[in-house]
Amino acid sequence: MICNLNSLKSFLFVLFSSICGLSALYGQSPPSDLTELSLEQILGIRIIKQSHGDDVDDAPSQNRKWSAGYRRIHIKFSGQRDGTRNVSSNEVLWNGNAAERTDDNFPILTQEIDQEAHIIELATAVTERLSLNVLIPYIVQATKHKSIVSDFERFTIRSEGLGDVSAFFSYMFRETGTHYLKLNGGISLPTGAINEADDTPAPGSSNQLPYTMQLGSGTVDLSPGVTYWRKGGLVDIGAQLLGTIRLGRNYRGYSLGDRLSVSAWLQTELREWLHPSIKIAAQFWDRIDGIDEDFKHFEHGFFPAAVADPDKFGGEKVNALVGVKLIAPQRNLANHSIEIEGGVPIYQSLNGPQPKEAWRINASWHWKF
Amino acid sequence: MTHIYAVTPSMRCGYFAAACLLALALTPVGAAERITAEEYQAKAALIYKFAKFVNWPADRLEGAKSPFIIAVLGKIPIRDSLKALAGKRIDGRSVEIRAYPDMSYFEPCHVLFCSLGDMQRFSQAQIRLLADEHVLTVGDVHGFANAGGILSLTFVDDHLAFRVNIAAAQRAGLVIDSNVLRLAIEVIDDSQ
Repeated sequence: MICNLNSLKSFLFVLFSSICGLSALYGQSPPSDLTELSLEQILGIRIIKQSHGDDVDDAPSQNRKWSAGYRRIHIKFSGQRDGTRNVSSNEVLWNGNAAERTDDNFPILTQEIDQEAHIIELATAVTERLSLNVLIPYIVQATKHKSIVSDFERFTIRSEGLGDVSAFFSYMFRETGTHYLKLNGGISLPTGAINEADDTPAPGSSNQLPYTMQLGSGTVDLSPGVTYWRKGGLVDIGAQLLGTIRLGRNYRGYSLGDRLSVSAWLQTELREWLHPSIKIAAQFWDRIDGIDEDFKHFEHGFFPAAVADPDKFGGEKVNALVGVKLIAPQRNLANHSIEIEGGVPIYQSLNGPQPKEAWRINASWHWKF
Repeated sequence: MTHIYAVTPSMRCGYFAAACLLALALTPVGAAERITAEEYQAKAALIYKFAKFVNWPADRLEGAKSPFIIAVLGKIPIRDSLKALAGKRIDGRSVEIRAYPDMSYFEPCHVLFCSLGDMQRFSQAQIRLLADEHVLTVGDVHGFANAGGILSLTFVDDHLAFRVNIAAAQRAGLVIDSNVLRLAIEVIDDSQ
């Protein structure tokens, strides 16, 4: 645990050093009264750009009332973790000896999970301060397993389809030209299937897949949040707090854990079209409440895999990410932007054994019109 | 127990080196040699200087003691920076800054800073009113001058630049000094 805290401290140290470095290198005092300069001199000053309010994020504005976008998120899970400790395959995969069976070993081991979300984003500015967004995700998932079951020593299960469609509002609560505070609220509808099935070592050829392979939560979820930006300096600073609250249990008898995400980032403008950024993002999420009806018979015994056990969910995670936003400068492509961000976990404490995240990458395109 | 997330002293040095490299990588070329200023402060100064090179018709400059009015339409971030111009003098008149929440509050002024959205939403009657009152319309969104505004502030790299719609200026009865027009990155004539 101390090691992990040290890791987090070191990352914060990098952020702090970067800010100090940038401040020292950029620091140039402007003249006290620019009106004393000539017009030519004013045109020769290097300008520290400030936000127009419209440009705080990718939200549309009164000038550009609509925005459309596409986002692809890919998260890779590889290996297992219990608490803050990595656990080996041999520890988690039960060897078949009844005397050695525990709650923390299983006949089926999840080796790798690939989760991809292809998200269509549409947004409109209702008023100068209020915008509405709709997100339509398409989910593609695959999990590789190893097991002690004959004919299933190694097997992969897959699921694919529409995820949970969500609608958000974003309200500019306060703006000063350099400081911006937005309130966010959203509702996610259970449009993603929670009865995805595939061929697994269980009897039959089409069995209910574990929670990680379902396409939605099955519940109506609320997502309140708040976003802060400080823009106008050479380095923009931002922070966001976002929650996910599950309303009740789904029709299969469970609800995924509530979730809290906290992130902070620095972004600078290297060129008018080039905006690199660094971010730290922490997530806290609960265990699954209840149990899927098809897994109920395991409840008072042993689960076949960690991903079928509701108690092997939840935990805490901190990711470090770097990204870059490219804004098209040409007239024909004006108002188009592309953003790419990738990162790795620097801290994971999981209610495990549980598949641990290896990396994530997020690419998006936005167009305001 | 040691695991992959443990941080050794050598890794800490590595983090520090990475931070230094990041800081260097993010430094624009020649930044240390240049004067910098915040965007809206510089734009306010440019508007002030620009206005000094514009001749208004005599009927707009009634009374030697009447103020020179710079107004802002709506909630635009430059408003606070423009306030710093209050009390300065243009053509011997003291600068006064006013804010109009929308066009229903409009009163005659010399300069009106407004958004592209406002410019596009102006009715024909409002456009005529602005021209009849000899108002120098200023905006800082791409396309402002093409939409009928007179002075459009923009950027070339990290520097302020401007476009002038000379036909719109003429319709408002304003004469802009030719030396200033030479500094414009584009002089638009939408009269044809």
